[in-house]
Amino acid sequence: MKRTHLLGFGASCLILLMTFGCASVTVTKTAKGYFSPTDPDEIEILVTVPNRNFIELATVTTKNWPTNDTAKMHNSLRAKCAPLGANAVILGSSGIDHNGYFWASGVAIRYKSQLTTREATKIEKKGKKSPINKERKLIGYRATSEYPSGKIITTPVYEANEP
Amino acid sequence: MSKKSILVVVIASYVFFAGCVSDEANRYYLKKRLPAKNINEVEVLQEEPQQPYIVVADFQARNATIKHMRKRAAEIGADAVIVVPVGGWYSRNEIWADKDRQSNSYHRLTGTAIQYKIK
Repeated sequence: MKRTHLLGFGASCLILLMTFGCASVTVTKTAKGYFSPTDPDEIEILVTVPNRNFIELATVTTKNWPTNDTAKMHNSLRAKCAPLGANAVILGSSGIDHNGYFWASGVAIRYKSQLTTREATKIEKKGKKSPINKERKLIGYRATSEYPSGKIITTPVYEANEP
Repeated sequence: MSKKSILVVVIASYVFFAGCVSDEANRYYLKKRLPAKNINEVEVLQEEPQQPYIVVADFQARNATIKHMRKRAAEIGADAVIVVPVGGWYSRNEIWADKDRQSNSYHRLTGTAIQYKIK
C-alpha cells in the first residue's frame, strides 16, 4: 500500500473514532509526587467544593459528548482520574461546542485524609485503629436507585465532615 | 498545488506533529542538583515502590514515551521514575465506571522521579 494511502487510512480512522465512538478526556497533572490509584466506582462527581480538606491533583476536560450522555461523561472522568489517585472531580464549567457536543472541565482532587494502604497498614500494625475507618463514621444506608425488578441499591452514608 | 497535494501535506503534518513530544512541563524539587546517571540505571515503575523514597521531580508531556521519561529521570540523577499515563479516548458505549476499553490510549504521560532513601 502506498504511503499516502496509509496516511489517509490513519486519518480516516481518527475521524471515525472522534465522530462515532469516542469522547476524549484531557488530564493535566498539577500535584506534586505520586498517589496510588483509586477505585473509579468510588470517585465522586461534585459541582460544589467539599468541606473536607483536599489537594488538587489535576485539571480535567472531557469533550465530544452527546448532550444526553451526561452520566456517561461523569464515568469517563471517573475512569480517567482514578489512575492519578483522585477521590473526586469538582466540575467547574461546561457547555456545548460548535458541533453540538457537550464538554465539561473541572479539577480532580484527593482528600487529605485518604491514606495509602501502606500507611494505614503501618498504623494498624502498631495496634491503633486505622484513621481511614476511624475518620469516616458510618451513619447508615440510604436507597439510591431502584431497578424495575424491585432490587434497591443502597449506599453507605458517612459523617459529612472531617473530625 | 492540487487539492490532493494539500490533503497529503495536512495529513503528513498531523502525523509528524502527533509523533513529537509536546507540552513538556517538568518540576524539580531538590535544592541541589544530583549527578546525571546512565539511562539503564534508572528503574521504570508503574506503582509506588515499597522502600522509602523522596520525590525529586515531576515530568509530564504529550506524546511522550516511557523511554523519554526514563531519559529525563537519568538526566537529573533519579533512581527510578513512576510512570502513569493519563487522559485519552473514552468509548461512549462504555456503561461501567471501572471499565475502560480505551485504557491503552492516553494523551499525556506523567512521571514522578524518585530517589531511594536507603540504597
